[in-house]
Amino acid sequence: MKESVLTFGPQGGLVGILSDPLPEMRSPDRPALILLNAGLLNRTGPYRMYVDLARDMAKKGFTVLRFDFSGLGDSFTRKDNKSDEERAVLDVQEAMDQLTRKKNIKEFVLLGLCQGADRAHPLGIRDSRIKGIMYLDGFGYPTPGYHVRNFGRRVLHNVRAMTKLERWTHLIKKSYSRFFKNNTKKGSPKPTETFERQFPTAKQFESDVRSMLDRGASLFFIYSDGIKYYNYEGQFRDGFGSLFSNDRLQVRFFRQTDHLFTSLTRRKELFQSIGDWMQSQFSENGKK
Amino acid sequence: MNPFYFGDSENPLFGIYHPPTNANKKLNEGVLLCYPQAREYEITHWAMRQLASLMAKAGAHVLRFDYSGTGDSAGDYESVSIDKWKSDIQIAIDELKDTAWVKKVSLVGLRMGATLAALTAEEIEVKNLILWDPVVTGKDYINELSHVQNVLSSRLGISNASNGTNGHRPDGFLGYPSPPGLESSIKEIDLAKNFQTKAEKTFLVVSQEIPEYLRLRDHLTEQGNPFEYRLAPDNGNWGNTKENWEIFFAQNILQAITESVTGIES
Repeated sequence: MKESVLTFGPQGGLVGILSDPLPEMRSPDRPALILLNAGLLNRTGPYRMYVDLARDMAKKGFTVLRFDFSGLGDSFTRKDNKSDEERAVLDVQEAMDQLTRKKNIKEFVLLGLCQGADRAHPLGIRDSRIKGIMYLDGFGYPTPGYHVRNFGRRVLHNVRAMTKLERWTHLIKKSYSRFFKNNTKKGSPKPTETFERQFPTAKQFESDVRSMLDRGASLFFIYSDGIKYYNYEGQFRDGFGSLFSNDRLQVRFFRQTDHLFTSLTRRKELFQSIGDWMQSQFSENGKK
Repeated sequence: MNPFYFGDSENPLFGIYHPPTNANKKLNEGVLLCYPQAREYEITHWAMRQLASLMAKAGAHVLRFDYSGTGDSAGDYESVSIDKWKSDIQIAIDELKDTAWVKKVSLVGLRMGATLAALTAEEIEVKNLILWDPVVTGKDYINELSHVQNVLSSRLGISNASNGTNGHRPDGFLGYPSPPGLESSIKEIDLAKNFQTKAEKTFLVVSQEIPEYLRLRDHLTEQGNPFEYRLAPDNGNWGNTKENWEIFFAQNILQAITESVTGIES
């Protein structure tokens, strides 16, 4: 495995690190994996997760690029009136162009965590060079099963909390506040992750996923237990069961982990899962 | 801005060189930025980039770099040590001298980066040593991180167990591996007690006045070497227990540091 700096885009202002497999591990028809910034963090990812993942995948024979979107990390800021989403599309397309020029790689898989997954989605719809996307805590949609479990969780949480004195104190204060003060928050919608991240509608999402699967892309949705909008293994299947007629769609739910896979044990399982999926979808033996 | 790898070709370090960006203000000054570590590295990366740009604009040659096992540099966090990081700083100083053709280099460090810069400046001569919100007492720093770890562990259900060997924690410490011996060697650090610098001048630039900074200020004053203390009220709430990453932004303190290093108001 060898790492090198890759600069590209206008005036070479986009900065990334390329992890190349050893020559004997390389295969010309394998797609390159591109890791997209998680929120505002730079290309090393939370807990340096992207560095470890890139090295891991390069050892398995995949070329990996992790780079900073324009305006993040060490990359320049584009001076135009485009939205962040449009800039992200341009940035990734320039990354792919550069990998084709430098490495003669013409197919790509994107991996994004949280907002990174959101950025990957429109690219997968628009650009047929993208053969796969791994969504880590990407878009998700509540189902009846989700609401039942969520209700159960809240009841359990409150029952547990009732055994604590401070909870009673909190409840008394809250009741007092409701009775005697003007509660301005009443009726106002709570900000949710869905709202902040601007999820497409469920119908639009289903249509997007179907179109990507129909053109031959492989999609892997990985959800952690640390997000509010996904809470059981079969939630995706319950919401979009008809998409599963295509075996290029996979979903995995990681219990007992947070959004950023803070636990090293859970992160190891995540990497294993990612590696297995990449091998099954894109290596010579596993290619579908 | 020039990103590149340098040092040992088997285990290279990653750095970004910022040449002076104003042709009328070339200072023939080299400044090496020393990042904090782990979670603090990630949230302050942007601020360090801003600081490098400000100093380059003021005419300095600036290099910021990742220690072994951190950021984009070679190596795993599992195998890092204080001694290795100190030797990385020396390699980076030499690299900056070669790249920018400067004879002397100043060190600017934030948090653990300031502490590492200080420990390095005990052994080699540097021009200015700028300590930005340094970790003064290693024991307090580890206690502070342990508190954050405990809060996050209970909130996120992460095992907080240590197997007792050198304080190694199999499930990590604040999301990072826990290298054998690192925790204990950090605990031995007390800049306000033993620290003696070879820097021509030392600056302690702090975002707020807390007892450990004042202890270090008093210690450095007692040493009798050229020293300046600057309070630049700014963001400096280190050791918060929020589980999400909040990117660190600062303004006052970046200007104060730039002025300290270059003598030019930014």
